Amino acid sequence: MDTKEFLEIKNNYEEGKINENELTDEQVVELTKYYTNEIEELKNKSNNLDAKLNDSKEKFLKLIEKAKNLKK
Amino acid sequence: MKKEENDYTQKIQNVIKDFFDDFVYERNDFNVEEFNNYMIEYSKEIVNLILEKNNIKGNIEFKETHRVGLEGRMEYNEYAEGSSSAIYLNLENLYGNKDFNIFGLKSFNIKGRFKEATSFINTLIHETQHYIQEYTVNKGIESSKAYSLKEKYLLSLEFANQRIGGFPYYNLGNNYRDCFLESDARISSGLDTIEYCKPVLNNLYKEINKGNIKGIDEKDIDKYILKLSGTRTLNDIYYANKLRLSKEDINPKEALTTLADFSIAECPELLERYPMLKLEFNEDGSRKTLDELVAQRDSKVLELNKQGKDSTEVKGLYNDILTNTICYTMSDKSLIEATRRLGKEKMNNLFEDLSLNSRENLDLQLQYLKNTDDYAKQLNSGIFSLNDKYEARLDLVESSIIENNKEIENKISSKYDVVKNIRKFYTKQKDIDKSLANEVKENKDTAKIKYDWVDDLGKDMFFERYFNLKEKFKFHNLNRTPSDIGTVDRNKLKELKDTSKEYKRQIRTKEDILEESLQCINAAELLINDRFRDTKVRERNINERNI
Repeated sequence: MDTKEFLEIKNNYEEGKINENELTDEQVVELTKYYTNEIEELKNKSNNLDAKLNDSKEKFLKLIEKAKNLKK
Repeated sequence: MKKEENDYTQKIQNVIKDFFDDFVYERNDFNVEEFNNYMIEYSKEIVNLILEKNNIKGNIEFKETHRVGLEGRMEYNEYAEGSSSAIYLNLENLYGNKDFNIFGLKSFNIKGRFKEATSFINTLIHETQHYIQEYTVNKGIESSKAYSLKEKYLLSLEFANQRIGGFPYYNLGNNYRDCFLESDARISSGLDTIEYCKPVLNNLYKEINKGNIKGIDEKDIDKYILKLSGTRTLNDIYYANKLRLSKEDINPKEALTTLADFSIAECPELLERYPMLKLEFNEDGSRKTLDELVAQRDSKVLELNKQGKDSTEVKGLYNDILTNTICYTMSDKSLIEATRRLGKEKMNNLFEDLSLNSRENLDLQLQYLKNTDDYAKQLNSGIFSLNDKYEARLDLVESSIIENNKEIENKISSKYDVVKNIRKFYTKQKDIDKSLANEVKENKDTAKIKYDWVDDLGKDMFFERYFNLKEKFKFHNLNRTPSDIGTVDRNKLKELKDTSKEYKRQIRTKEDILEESLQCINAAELLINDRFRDTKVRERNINERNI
């Protein structure tokens, strides 16, 4: 299975045009490998975003503190 | 301790007693020149006695260093006949340096002079210890404080790395403390300083109790001894064993092993300076292969056994070298190559040996800690009692040694997994070979490719190659299913697809929230800054009106 063929199968599978049972064994193996790697990357991305959100939360709390001080 | 060693210890103690008489008990109003001459003479006397005690005929000059923050430095140069080494001492600080608010031995209170004097003696012994270390590994001569084979090897590696101009190993983050050559010198000098100063310290206690000496009390002396024998010693054992990652994420052992490759390749003459390194490196400075090291180890062990000599230490050293070579210099791919050459059985035996060696190292380190601790306690007995802090630190140090060992064991076992997996790889390969042989029988044209690809390395590369070849040579009649190359689990695939979809959805939401938050923060910042400016202006106006 070459890259072009793989991408076509993947898109069709994701769009629901074909289901698992319609895939060949080889395609199942390749897609399993692909999703395992992709999930690993997505996990990293998600953790990264969590850290950024935390930072912005802290920044926001500091601003509120600053605003309160100004009021006084 | 042998009688001669005991004599030398007493001689050193006497010199130190004179030194205390001249500079600690009373404030000596010497001038710089006199002072420097005195210090050089005292240093020569103490260092030569230490060297004689260690059966070393050294050639050391004493020089002055003015580098701020540096108390002493040793420069070993005796690689060729007739050359001399040097110990640099910061006499300026010892004399007192008003610019830096340092009063040195000219301090008006005895507490200050005591601190300077013991610190100077400690520095002197520390630098001498470095000299003994390098002399031992350079000349291959045993000193009375014998280093084990493993320690000598570690010293050789560290000196080799240090000798390449400004080489990073010594300066990596906190590696000053990770270096064996430093922790060893600090531990030895700490304990030796107490041993050599013991008579003057006991005398000080006595005089303080009698009320003859004012301005210093017992606690000040206790504190200093604890620093030398307790906290400092334990700290060094702790850091030397913790194998912790430094700020730059560099594992000291890994750094030492990999940097040694560069240092020695760059400067193979280091092998002449530190001949033990020839065990691990070829004459041209390149690293010996795993196969060569294993063969060398086995033949040396066999030779010693034939001669009826104990081979444990030599085997242990080779196993340390092999562990570092495998853990830090070999990729999984090159390990697979080596396994192919050496065979599964030999490789399995090797990894079992290395695990055992790692556990033996743990016992050795714990024993060393126990000995050092016993010695420190013995030195201190009658001087002061160890406090709880020291005992707590001792537990921490012991756990650091165990942690260090675990880390090495993990490294070995992860590499061991690679070797174990090769078994499966071999089994698969056998099947494929069989199938290919049948294929070859049927079609002679394909024969040429047989060994073109079965020699391939690494699981992934193997299967990639297999698919390419399958495509290229249309091996459709090979009796293989995709399940041989991975899991065919349709439910799992669906699960993975859904998980991936869910992650993507969460990420999109988080990205939206983040964007919105950043916009809010920017707006709030602008607003607050404006308000802040307004408040300031208002305050200024009010102030001006008041004036």
